[in-house]
Amino acid sequence: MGLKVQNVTKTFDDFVAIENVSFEVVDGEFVCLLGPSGCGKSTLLRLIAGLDKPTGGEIFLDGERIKGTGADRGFVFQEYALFPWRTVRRNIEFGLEIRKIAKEERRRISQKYINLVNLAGFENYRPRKLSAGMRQRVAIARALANDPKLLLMDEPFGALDAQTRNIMQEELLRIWSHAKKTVLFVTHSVDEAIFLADRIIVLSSSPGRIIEIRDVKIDRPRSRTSADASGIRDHILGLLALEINKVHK
Amino acid sequence: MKKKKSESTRTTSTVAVRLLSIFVFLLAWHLATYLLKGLPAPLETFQTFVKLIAKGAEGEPGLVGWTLQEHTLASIIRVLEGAGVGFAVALPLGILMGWSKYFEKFAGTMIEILRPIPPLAWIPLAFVIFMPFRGSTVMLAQIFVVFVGAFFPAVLNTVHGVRSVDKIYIDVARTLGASNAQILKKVVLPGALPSMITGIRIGLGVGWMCLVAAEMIGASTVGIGSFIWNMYTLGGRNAEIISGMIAIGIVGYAMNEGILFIERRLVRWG
Repeated sequence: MGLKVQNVTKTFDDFVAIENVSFEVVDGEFVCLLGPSGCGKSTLLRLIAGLDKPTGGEIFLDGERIKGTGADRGFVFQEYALFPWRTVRRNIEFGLEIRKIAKEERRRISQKYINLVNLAGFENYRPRKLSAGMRQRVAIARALANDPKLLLMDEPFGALDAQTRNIMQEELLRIWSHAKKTVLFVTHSVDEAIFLADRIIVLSSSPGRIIEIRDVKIDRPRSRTSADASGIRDHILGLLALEINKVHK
Repeated sequence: MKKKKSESTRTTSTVAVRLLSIFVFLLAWHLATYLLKGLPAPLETFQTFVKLIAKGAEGEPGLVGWTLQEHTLASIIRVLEGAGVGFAVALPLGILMGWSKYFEKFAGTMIEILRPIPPLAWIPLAFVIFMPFRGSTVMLAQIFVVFVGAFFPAVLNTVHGVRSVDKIYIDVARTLGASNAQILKKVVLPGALPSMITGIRIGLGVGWMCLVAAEMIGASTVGIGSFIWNMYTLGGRNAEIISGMIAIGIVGYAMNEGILFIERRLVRWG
């Protein structure tokens, strides 16, 4: 069981965004999709979410073919995309409203996730009053409150400053260990991938193809500067340098 | 030690400038009465204004007998009727047009053909159309003109509002499992609300201006535009004319401020 991406290709007119990508993610796993800008990693995530349709190939979640969007796959965008007219609580309850869950139950669930992402006390704030890090916490809570099987995250910390970003990575791992979700996380930061992932899928620049799938067998909590991490970093940076040179030639 | 200007002194000086503005306006008006023979002085106009509120215009039976506020209220009701029907058509239409590219092309083409026609140019046709409704022909025509005036700003602002809802909110809603109908209700409508309210505000303003002009055409007795025109027809009622104009200005201002107030209450995230 889990996610299975099988020979997926996506083209936009003449442009091949991703080509013949296949991989699997097992339940409870934290996998990072890593690649240079424009390698189609966000495109791949949108295909799995069902926001776009693949040109070729198929995607399965728990053996079932993905045909469109569904509440079984939560999505966290880099831009947070919080509804500005809703408070923190009502943003988090959006998916529950969609599924027509009764008000008291909605309250109970939203409070649980508000506490999980450390936003107690900010329930009635509107997004514009929150810092960038807090906004992304709300977006994560909103996706989790819907109880998806799979959490898709598209460079969620890309817009945060370095300090906040580190804190949010640690927070995400804590949340992940509590919520017990499968996570597929897109990033272009090698350090971020090594800090977070059980496995890293390295994609080539356009058209995006898988060039390596690398296990990260380092116990958590991880040090960002251990010898093991450095070894993996040097190896992956070497792969990516080849890719970037390819583009510039 | 010099202190920064406090909030209260700044408000006081703003009020002073506003009072000065009104004073200079009244002074200029007063001086203008020496040059323009027909123009009544501010004080005389004020006395007439008060008298019109207390007991209405004197003279000609049939044309008089209503107080200024009765005339004004009759006009306000007509504007609300015409604009209300206009909004009831314009808002759903605008949402559909913003939602569907094809419907936008379809309805948009018709709207672009009709929009350049000034609302007042519809009056003769409206008289003809509403001729079968004896007794209410004139009033129905006036309401129709308001409808035309209020409709276009409301529909165009609604289309703009729906269009400008960021696509990412729709994507987010989809990934949370929302259907098209739920997206329309929970994402597009609240997202477009500020533009829709702006459309209503502009539509009411245009409708009000159209009504006052429409009331001056065709014989009618009650309504602020009719009042002004009838005072002009009687002759020598210049202070009454200006009093009517002042009432129009007050109502127009109050409607605009009222909608802005409602907008501030409904749109707290802006």
